[in-house]
Amino acid sequence: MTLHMHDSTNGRLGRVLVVDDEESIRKIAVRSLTKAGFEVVEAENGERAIAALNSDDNPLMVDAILCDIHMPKINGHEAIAYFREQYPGVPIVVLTGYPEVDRAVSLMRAGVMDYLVKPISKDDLVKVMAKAVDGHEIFKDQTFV
Amino acid sequence: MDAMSTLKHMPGSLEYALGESEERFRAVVETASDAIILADHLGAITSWNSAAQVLFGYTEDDVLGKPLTMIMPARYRAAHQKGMERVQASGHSRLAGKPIELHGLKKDGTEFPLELSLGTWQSGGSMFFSGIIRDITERKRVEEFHRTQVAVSLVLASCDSFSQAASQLIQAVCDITGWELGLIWLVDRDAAVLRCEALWHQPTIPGSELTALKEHPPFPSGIGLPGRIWASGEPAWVPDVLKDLNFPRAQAAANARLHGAFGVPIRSGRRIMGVMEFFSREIRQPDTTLLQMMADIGIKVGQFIERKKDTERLRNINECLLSFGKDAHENINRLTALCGELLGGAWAVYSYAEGDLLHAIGRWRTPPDFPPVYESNGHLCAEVIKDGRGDLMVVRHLPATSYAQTDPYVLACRLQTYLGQAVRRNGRYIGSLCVVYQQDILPREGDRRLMGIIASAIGVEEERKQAEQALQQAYDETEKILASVPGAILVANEDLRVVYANALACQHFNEGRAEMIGASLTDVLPTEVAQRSWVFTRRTPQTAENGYWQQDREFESRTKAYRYRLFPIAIRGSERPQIGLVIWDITEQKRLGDQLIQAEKLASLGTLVSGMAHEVNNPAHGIMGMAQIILDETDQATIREYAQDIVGHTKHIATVVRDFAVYARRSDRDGESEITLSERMADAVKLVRRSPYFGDVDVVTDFQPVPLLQARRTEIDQVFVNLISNAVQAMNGKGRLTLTTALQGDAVRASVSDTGGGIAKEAIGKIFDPFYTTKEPGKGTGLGLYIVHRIVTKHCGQIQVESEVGKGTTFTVAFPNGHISPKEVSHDTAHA
Repeated sequence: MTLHMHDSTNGRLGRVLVVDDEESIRKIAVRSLTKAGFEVVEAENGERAIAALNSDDNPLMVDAILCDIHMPKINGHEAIAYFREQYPGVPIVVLTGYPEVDRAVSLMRAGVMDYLVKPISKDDLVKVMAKAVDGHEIFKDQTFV
Repeated sequence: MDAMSTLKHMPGSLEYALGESEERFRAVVETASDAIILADHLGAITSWNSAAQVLFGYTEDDVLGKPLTMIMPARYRAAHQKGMERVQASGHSRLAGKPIELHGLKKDGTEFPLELSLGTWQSGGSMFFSGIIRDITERKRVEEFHRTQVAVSLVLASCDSFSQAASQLIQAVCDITGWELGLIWLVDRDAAVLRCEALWHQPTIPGSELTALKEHPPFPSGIGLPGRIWASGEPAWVPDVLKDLNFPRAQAAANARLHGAFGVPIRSGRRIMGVMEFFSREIRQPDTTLLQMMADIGIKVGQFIERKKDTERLRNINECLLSFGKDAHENINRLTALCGELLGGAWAVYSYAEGDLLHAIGRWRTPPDFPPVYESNGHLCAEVIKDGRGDLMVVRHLPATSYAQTDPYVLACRLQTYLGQAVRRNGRYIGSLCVVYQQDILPREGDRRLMGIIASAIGVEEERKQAEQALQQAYDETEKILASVPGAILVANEDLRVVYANALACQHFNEGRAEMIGASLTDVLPTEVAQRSWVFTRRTPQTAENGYWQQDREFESRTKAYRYRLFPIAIRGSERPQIGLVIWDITEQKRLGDQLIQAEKLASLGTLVSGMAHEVNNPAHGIMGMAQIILDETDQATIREYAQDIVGHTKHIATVVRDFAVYARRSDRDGESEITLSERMADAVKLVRRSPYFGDVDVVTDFQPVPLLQARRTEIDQVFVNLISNAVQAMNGKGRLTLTTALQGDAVRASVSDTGGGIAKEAIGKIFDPFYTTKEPGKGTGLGLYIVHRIVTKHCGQIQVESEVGKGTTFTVAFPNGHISPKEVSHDTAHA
């Protein structure tokens, strides 16, 4: 299984899926978020991410998704569209090297919660992801209400 | 009366009958107009009629019984005596039966010509003579006049000029009329005197005595015999010059022992041209018949002089025409002067009419203050032009005409006569040739003809001048057009010598040269251009028409950039080829063009820049993240690993920045270099690959080895980046990008194919137009393919596009193999 789960001390802040084709970027995200108290699952591209979420024997539940755009196989756009359709409650944060307003706007319209342009500091990433996970919590609460 | 005598007088008797016959005979003899003289065998006069008395001046009583010799000049007497004796002996006279011409001697001692009809008869064994004598003085005179006329005519007919004829004329007259000396005087109109033209004398007069007659100071009008004749225009007779009061040459005449003289004018119409005078050493009484005859000869000589003058004038005109130069004005001036000189006027002017003004462009002896341009109003010249007549306008007695008021020169210069002839140019009267006189002149036919001829000659010059002006104008206009063409034009012959350069060419290329014409093209233009021109002159016009030679080329000279084209020049009548160069200054255009290429590149970089941002941000993020991790990390091995990652990210950033920087570089800072097409295509893909729209496009390459291309690298990069960007964008991140290079025939080809949506047929014609784009606003400048086209054609290449909607598009650029760069041309020609 290529889906890596990084359990933090207790994963008390929630579970985050990190999708990025570059290993070193994933490495930073995983390390930062884990240290901050998230449980992190990583996938090297959109195809893998979708496969992980849809695994028949062990479907993965996540509180938020951190996703790159420029990736081989299923790229960020396609993956995001899929996530929004299949898991409308899971907040999606885009982390990308493209500083384009157009792209940011169109993705936000598509339901992306936040659009982060690299480089971004460890603390900022943690804050945004914490907020994203909170969003999911609210959503969960609402469903349960 | 005795019986015998009575009988004698009785009618019917023999005596009576005889007497009656004798009476009848006597009556006939007495009333005859001819002298009838009878003589006996001894030559004594026996009968003398009244006509004889009138003829010889002797009465019957004076001569009866006297010898016949008394009425004949002494020189005949011996011959007469011999003849009488012969007749006595032979019984008949050789002279009888036919009239003979002799001279008679009058009682007063003068001789006269006579015609004698001699008869003889026998009576009483003796011989008797009868002579009928007629005075033939008049007949002789008429004959003499006739002979004189014929002789004069012969002289005139055989002589080419009057000076040649003059002394022969005098001799002919003297020989026939018996006068001994003659002189001819001609009028010198300018000096208003008569000058001696010729002198001839019989050998009986010693020539030494005559010099003073001839070399006497010229006669003014009215002075001396010639002056009197000139003044009066009439013949004059002086019986004895020594007794004449108006004869300044009396001393000379006395020395030569001259007495009788007469003279007649040499004239043509009313014009006195000279005087002929004749002298005799005898006192001569006026002979009106002779005078009349000589006056007639004077007219004949006058006509001869006029004719010769006309011939001479025609010769002068001919010489004048033959000596014409190129300058029509100068020629017209000479014709005007010739007209004035030949017609002997005070001055002559040729005026050309233009509107209300007359331009005096031909002048001869005009007053110093005569204006070059004057108002035509009130001037005779204007009338001549206005009248537009072919014949001469003659105005006499000018002071009495209204022109005396309108033309100040009439009175100021005391002008009397005006002769004006209209000058025609191309069928229209445009000017007037005039001659003015201070005398009253009635032009003769020759003068009219002369003015007509000169006016025609001026007309021809005017036409020539007009044609020349038209030609000059056409030339000037052509020159002006060529001068204002926004390009430099140079024409060189096959030796590459400049034969023409317009103003702009001189301005651009005639650095410090006094004269561009004749300069060598190699000195004027860069060597490679001159050499290409040289090769061009060796081509036939047909090969010159092929595409290669019609392509514009560029060169740089003294910080300026030029584009030029060669063209062959066919010059009529010349087999030597000439070559033309039209050269445009494209410095500014080139600068703008380079700027445009650069601007497009920067604009297209905009679409690439997000790719670049990604490429930079990604590693930057990595660097930042790694660095933050290191800050918290204590494990040396982990720190080392992360630091290693940071180095990798930094290198990546450096590479990306360099790639973009190289691409963004201004191409005009580069020279041409040798380029490997496949390398350039691969580099372009690398650049485009970074763009966000590259997606999952597969890249397939088929690079066959091709010759190197001589070009600017950055420009070729721009071509491929644009083509590949377009291809990738057309595929929306999915598809196959195929890049190929191949040598096909004479062309090096490189193609970029995509499997995108293709280009609609109606759009294909426009894709190379500037600002044509199918992309959404902000996604494309519409300049990409336009710039690609520009760059490719600049390197003498071509670009083709094949596209099928739904299947994809292939752009192929083709450069001529061995694309002859200017450098290669110079090699070529160096070996040629």
